[in-house]
Amino acid sequence: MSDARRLAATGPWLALMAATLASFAAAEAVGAARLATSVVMLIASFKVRLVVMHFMEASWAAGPWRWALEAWIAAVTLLILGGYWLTPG
Amino acid sequence: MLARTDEITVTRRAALPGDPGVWVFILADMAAFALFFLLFTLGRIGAPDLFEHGRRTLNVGLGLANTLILLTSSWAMVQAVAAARVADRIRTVRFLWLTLAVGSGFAVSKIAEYAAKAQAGISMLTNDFYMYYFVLTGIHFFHFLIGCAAIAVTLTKARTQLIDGRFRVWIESVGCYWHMVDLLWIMLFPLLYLQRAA
Amino acid sequence: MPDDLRHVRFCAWNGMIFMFVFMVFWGMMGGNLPPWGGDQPASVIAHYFRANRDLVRTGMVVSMTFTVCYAVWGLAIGKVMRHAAGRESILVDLQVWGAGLTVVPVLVSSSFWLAGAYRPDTLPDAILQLLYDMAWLLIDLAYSVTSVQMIALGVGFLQDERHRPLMPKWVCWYSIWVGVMFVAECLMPFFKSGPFARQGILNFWIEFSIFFIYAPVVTWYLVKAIPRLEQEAAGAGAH
Repeated sequence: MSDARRLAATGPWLALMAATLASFAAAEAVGAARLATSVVMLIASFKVRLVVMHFMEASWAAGPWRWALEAWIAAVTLLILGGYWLTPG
Repeated sequence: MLARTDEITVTRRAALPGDPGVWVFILADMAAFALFFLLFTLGRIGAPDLFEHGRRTLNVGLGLANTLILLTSSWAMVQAVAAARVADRIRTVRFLWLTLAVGSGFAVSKIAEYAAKAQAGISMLTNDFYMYYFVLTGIHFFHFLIGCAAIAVTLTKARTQLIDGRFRVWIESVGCYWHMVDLLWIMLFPLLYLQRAA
Repeated sequence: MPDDLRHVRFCAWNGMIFMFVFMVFWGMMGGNLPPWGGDQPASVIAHYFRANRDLVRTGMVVSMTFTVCYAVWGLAIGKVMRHAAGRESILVDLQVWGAGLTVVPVLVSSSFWLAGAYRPDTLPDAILQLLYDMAWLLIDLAYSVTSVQMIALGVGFLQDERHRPLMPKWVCWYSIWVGVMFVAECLMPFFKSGPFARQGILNFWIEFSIFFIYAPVVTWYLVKAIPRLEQEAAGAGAH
């Protein structure tokens, strides 16, 4: 089976693993909690998008399903980050 | 061979992989989890100190390991689907096994986490943070187990049935469900474990 | 032998009768929409029974009378599903039994509410609260009986080989999803407040809403399927 197809998933996988480690490092190391957490959540968002586009192959599709997935990612990121910034303390 | 690959490529352009109906299930589940994320977020706004205190007791290392495990398991699933698309039975079966084998690490880790909490006398009734922690990860774990069962069924089919169009729709559907389990954890991990109080 | 589709239409509409009765008589009159919280003191529940005894009695009497409509509906679904899943498929039986057995916890729990309204003045507050709790614990934790129906319905109709299936695939998957979602009711006995309690956003509002969407949707496609089956039978008969 074609190497191109195999690599098509491996590239995103490497990116996902790297992003995971990066966000972990950001969460633990960076001083300002608000900045660190925001970076972590945005990386998570980006990772979800990678899974949706490359593993679920939504990058091929147009139509309502694709937009529903994009909307979910945006909504969830907004609500978590928004809630985080609105938390007192 | 090349012509067939092209044909497969062309049909992929039109729609998402798998049975279109299964996307109802996937999106409904994702909507439910979005609601859970909202409930957690509201809970956290109401009791930031309690939630921070609880968060600090969570095993971030295991949470991180879980993320890496599910990502790798998802990768293996993609390979299995790709193999099914060229009707390579041996490769399909091999990667399905890998998906399960790697994925099982998640179960081991999760059970270890829960056991540690139980030993420390912590349960979902301890306080609101732990309520969300156990319920959210618990419901996710339930989804994970359903996914494992679906992959096991796929394995049986792959070993005994024709790797035809019908099987391809099935394995793509199961694959997308498994990727959903993966992406939900990708959000759950930072939500529960990494949101540091300011 | 051709399938007898007479009266199936009437039985199919029973699903809507059940839903309507349930919402109005069980829900509104019975004081269950939404339920009193697990964190409410007994005096609040007791007061509700004492102040609304006739309303609750009427609500429960009508509810109990029409609960059987759910089973009738399930049998109609079964008659149609045989043409999708195959006459001998166990999925047909699972759906029918799931629908039929769902009647039991609904009937029994309604009788507890009714008992609370029968002589609320002489019963102590704690007993009235107990009756209310028993009713809710039963109706919620009997979920798996209905889940069997819903999952069998979905899987059964997914076997349909027709180019345009009798029950659209999205309905089948939605049915399976609702059946699986019901599992969250397992959390309900552990919480008296919050989203997972009996009055909570998940275990009441979401769970009951997705159920109340499911029945009309299935009924709609069920009723549309019957003339299609009649046509198929007529076509087969002509040869």
